Amino acid sequence: KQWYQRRVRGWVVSNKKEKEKKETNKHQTNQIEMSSSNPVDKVHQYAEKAKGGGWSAAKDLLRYLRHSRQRFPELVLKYGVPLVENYSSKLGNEFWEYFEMVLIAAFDCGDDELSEKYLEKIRKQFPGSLRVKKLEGMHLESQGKFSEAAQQYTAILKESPTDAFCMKRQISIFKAKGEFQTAVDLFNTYLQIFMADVEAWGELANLHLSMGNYKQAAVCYEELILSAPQNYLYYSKYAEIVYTIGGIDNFRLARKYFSHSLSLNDKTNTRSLMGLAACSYAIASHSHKESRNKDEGKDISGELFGFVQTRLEDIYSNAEGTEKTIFLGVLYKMSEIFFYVEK
Amino acid sequence: MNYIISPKAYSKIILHAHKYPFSPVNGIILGRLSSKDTVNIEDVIPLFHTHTLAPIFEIAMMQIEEYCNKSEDKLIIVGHYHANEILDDARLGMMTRRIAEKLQGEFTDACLIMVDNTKLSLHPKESALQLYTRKNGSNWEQSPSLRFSNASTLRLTEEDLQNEKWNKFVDFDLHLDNPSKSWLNAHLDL
Repeated sequence: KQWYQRRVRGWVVSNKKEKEKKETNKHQTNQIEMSSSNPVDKVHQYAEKAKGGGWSAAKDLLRYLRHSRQRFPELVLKYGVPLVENYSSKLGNEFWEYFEMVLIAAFDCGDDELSEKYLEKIRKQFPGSLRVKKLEGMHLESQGKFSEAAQQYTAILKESPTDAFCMKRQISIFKAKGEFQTAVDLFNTYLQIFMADVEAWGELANLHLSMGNYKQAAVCYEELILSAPQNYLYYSKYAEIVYTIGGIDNFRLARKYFSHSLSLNDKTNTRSLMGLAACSYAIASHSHKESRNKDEGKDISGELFGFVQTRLEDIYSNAEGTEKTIFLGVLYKMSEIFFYVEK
Repeated sequence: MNYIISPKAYSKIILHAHKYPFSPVNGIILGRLSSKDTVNIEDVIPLFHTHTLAPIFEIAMMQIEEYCNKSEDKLIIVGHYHANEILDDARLGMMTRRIAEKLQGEFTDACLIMVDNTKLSLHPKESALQLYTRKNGSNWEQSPSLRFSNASTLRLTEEDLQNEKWNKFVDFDLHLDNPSKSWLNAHLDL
């Protein structure tokens, strides 16, 4: 889950669909943090608390959003604006960090009026600051002034040539303009310098997927797996990508990777269960058609499918009636291919 | 061929796009052939807010087909909708085209609907959808033949947006993270 929910602030792609700006206590906070809900659900829990009012709950929400690096700019504006405007004293020496967070959310939501107002305030407070220059660049991006923004970042890079943030913003500009190939080339240059930037590999993978470059996306996921061999999500996604490329060898490879993902997490990994079902079915269909490796279709794929079926039936026992019937029906139809092969 | 879209289907597509403003979104369109030259689009099943990949897509399609077979309304799959990630990107991606072409194998008048992101708004004044059709293996071309079945469609969508119905909106990706959430979205009461 984390890979697609984590948004690195440096990767804000400013061109997005338009959204107009809309209008506890410590023990409870820890409860949310420690709960086993996924990060997105936690955001909603924090937001519910913040709805109840109070600067403390608003601060907790913003803090969680920052730490979990998730992108909910509308929530940041909704709860952050009153926070920084009315409770600056409560924020103490963290004030300007929260202020910057709200400013970036204003860029993200395309709220020009708020952006100008807050940018002016931060300029006055930190004249000549490099960090403020970067915010100016992001402001230009949010207005769609890509050439000016690019110039801004180039100027900063002249002074500090290893500024990763500015390099990433430049890549984002090309992505926002739809010039994907240029973005990919810049990415490759960036990753030669900053090869440990895990989020960059993830973003590059997404870029390749949007271009239909499945092989290159797979390579990115190989890097991600190497960087975090205990992360079940990377194996699952890698399996999905190689399956998409297709062919019996890739179905077998995907089967291995989905299985490995499940060995790391078999509690909340429905994607891999479904992926494994798809692989087993695809391999069995293939074997059945070509009369080759009939045993493979019967033994390994059949067993794996049986395992998956049991797990999925378990998970779906709690589901709503219609979906449960539909899904179990589908599983049953799929399982028939294994009965056929056995004959 | 004329395509007429119900308020429910229109709203769902728009809600899907609003829920995930930073990702591409797509899904399957359901409806029926109501006469020899009219397709009625009744509903949509929202699929993904990630780049579509084959294994989960295949399983999702099997479930949607099963749903159609069992549905009392005798719905069939009549097309595919997609919203690009970038605001002013109107390109038809390779996977998007492939999916729509595959659907034409089952239903020759299957259509492709692209969301025009620039027309998305909390106060919609015009349709944000662009219809694409394809005849006899040629290219996908823009077609003006998409109409609302109900004159109040935009107003109804505006209400759904004001009620922030995207919060409880569930697509297949979200369902996989949390199987107790229903991708049929009956709970939204659209």
